[in-house]
Amino acid sequence: MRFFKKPWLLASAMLVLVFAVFLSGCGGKGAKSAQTEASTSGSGAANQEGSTAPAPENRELILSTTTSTQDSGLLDVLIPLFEKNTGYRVKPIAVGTGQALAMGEKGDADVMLVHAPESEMALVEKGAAINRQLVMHNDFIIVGPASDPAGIRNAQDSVDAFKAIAEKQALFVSRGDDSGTNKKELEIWKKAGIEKPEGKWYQSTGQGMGATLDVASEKAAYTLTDRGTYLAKKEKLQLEILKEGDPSLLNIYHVMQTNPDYVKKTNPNAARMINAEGAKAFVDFMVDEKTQKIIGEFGKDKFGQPLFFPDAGKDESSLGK
Amino acid sequence: MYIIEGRDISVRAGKRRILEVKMVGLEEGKVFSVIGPNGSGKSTLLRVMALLQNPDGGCVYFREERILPRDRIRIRRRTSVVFQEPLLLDATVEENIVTGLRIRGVDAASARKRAKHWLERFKVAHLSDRWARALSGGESQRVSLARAFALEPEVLFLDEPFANLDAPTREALLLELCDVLHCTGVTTFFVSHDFKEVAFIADSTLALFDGKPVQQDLPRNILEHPATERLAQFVGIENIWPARVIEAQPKKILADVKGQRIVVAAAAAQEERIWFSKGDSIKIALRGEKIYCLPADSKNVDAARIPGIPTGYNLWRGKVKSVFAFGDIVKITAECGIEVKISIPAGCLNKYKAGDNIIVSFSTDAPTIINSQQ
Amino acid sequence: MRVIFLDTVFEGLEKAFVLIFSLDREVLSITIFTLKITGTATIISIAIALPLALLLTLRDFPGRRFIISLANLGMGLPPTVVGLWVSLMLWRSGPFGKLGIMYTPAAMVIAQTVISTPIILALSTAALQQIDKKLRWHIMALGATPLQMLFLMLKEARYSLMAAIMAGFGGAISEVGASMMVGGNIQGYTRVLTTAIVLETSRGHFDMALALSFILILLAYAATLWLTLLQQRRYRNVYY
Repeated sequence: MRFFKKPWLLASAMLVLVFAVFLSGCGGKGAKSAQTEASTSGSGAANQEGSTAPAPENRELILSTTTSTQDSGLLDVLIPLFEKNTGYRVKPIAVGTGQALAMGEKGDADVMLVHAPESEMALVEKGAAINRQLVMHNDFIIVGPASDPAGIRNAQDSVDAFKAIAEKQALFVSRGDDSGTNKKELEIWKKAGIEKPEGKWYQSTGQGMGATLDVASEKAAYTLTDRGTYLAKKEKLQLEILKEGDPSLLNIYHVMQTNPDYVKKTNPNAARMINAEGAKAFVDFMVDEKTQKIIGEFGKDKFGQPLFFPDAGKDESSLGK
Repeated sequence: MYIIEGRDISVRAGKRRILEVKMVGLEEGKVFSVIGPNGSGKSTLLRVMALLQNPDGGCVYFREERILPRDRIRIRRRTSVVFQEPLLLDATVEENIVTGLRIRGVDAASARKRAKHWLERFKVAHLSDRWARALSGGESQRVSLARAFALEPEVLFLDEPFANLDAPTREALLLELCDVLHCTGVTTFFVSHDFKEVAFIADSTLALFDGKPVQQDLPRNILEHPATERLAQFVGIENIWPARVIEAQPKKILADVKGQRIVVAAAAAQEERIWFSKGDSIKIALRGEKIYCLPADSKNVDAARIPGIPTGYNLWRGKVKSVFAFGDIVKITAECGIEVKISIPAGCLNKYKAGDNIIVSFSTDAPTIINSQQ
Repeated sequence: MRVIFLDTVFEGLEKAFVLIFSLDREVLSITIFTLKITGTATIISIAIALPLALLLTLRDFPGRRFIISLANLGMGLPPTVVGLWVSLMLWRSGPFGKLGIMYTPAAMVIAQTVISTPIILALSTAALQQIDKKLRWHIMALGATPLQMLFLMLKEARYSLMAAIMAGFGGAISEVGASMMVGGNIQGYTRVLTTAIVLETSRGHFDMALALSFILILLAYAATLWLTLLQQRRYRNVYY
């Protein structure tokens, strides 16, 4: 079609060409090159020298985890290290707790890092998850204005503190977004004998933790928050930690493997793809002494205190005591 | 020998037959025209002949060679078409013409040269860099014509190319087209619903009604001696009267039109059609401009003594019913026992007004006879 | 509250510009990766949608209207829904699990193709159908082969087709739900501008999120601007 030679065609031909160049960089076999490119950039300069362990047969490892671990940035530190040590290529998929567990149960993930002990145990009892190991915990805290109108500083535990807030009708801001934090909050209300908190004193933002903290600060209200987000925003907030360290405020993380034998019963194809060796390596890595030390240090440089407390080898019931 | 010829062409729309033509052929170097009212199937016939539409029956022959589906593109490339709507490609004027040539494999340099030549020929060379969609109707149609001629076709199809143009533009373009056709001698298939265009341009004309041919003849004969009443109306004959033959002589009949006597002489072209005998029902058609009229004052009541009226004329007395001026033409309706419609040039005898007594007269070879069976 | 908000925005703006103009490595690589993914998806969509649009315009066959109505419906397909469906297909437990392309760029390309194909199909069918039917006779009468006919029709509708492609590109580059679900937002591997913005926002890194959002807007604007200029040049050609 030699007779089309107008600028527009030239322009679009160039566009197509540019796309095509991109295409060669990512479709089909391109996926592989993107993978190597990604793994090098993901694990830093050290990896480029090829100082890794010999590559395992099945390199790919899918880790289902909760958004909290990704948002904190902890995985960005740990995963490159694991990849460098073992040669596996980890795909961390940060989703809701429910989905993270479901992915493990169906065999869509190889290994899980989650913080929902009761649901985890259900999975273990079913036989869907194996090799469950305690890794670490972080905690929720109750924050509020320094004046502390409900006087929760002196409360025995978080349940008492919530009771006091409800009694005094002191302003409380909830995320109300059905997140893990929100669930935790409702759980405590339940324990405090309040099935469904409502009234002028109880307000929902329907937003994330950061925005909810802003609102609480603005209105001089109480709220339940994870420590990480609070520390990150502390300077801009007029809120103080009023209650912490209570076992019911802990967020306990376990790592566990998908059980290929369990998946095989329902879906042999998926079971064949599970990387059990890699999963075991990842569990071992997470409870390794060196890793535990890194977890304990994580966040100190930025916030002056750690975001997670390493717990490998401890008894779960001893936490927070 | 016909250069392009359709045999037993029929086209259906649903169950309805919209075109049924036994034979239609174009002689080399001649302008063949098809006229008919809107919806008569003439554009369909053009598309079939130009191989743009498959007929439901029959086939098209090009230089005696039957055209098979696989030959269509090859033959199309030896023809070109100008449509009523000058839908030009969304590009510049020059590109439009060059694209047409490039499709047919003409190299770029000579395509541009030919485009330039034909744009000049149709006086639109100054527009060659303009965007085709920005042109006026007349300009676009000139470009369309230039494109069609630049393709140097063996057969040129024109589908009412001037229908959407205003009168002065149409006239100017018609003159130019006529000139170019004359110079190039290209065989042309010209479709129009304007019988005046046809009279101007065509060597031979086919009249089409409801998809069926009713008359094929010289354009002049179609205008003067239409074969059917509808065709007579279509070519603008105002007066069509039912009549009864009183006396039939060779080359002449006397007939009765609602009490008025009328003498019709056989015009050369339709001589053979006067074969009526006494008592036959016929229809007589007469153009308004072929009728003269005179004021009927007391001094010349005797028709025979009216000065200026030669013998061999019909003379009727009547009364003016209405007078309308249409630009340079005055249309008079007179009551002479039967309604007579007269067209006379404005300015010469326009002093008539409603109620005036009047004498109308027309030559005996002015009327034409339509066989009333059709 | 307002003060805090403004602080965030201004600080964010400042850092965002530093990140953009210092060609921060991560920002740059995410941007290039986004263009690769969406560009590939757009090309595949074009390859599917344009021939189909031509077919829908030139041929009348049973199911034709149904396909057009599906395409129109697909234009408003929520990306999250696409993400869910593609996930269900590509998970190991799904029917195409064996391919092992879940959480890879290939999966993202598939999801974005599913999103942009109906947009391009619906808009380009409309564009081609707007070409006067009689123009097709004109082109045929010029002696065009079927192939030349297709090219001339595409050329005739080029501005509307460009707009259709840009709309498809825009729809794919700006969606977040599907990319998040099927790509997994893996750093350095399947992270695109939109998913990165979501992540950086939830991490409270508003500077990074803002920088990425500016780039996203800039890309969308560049595409739109190019198209607008093209169309305006034509408008000037035709109407002045």
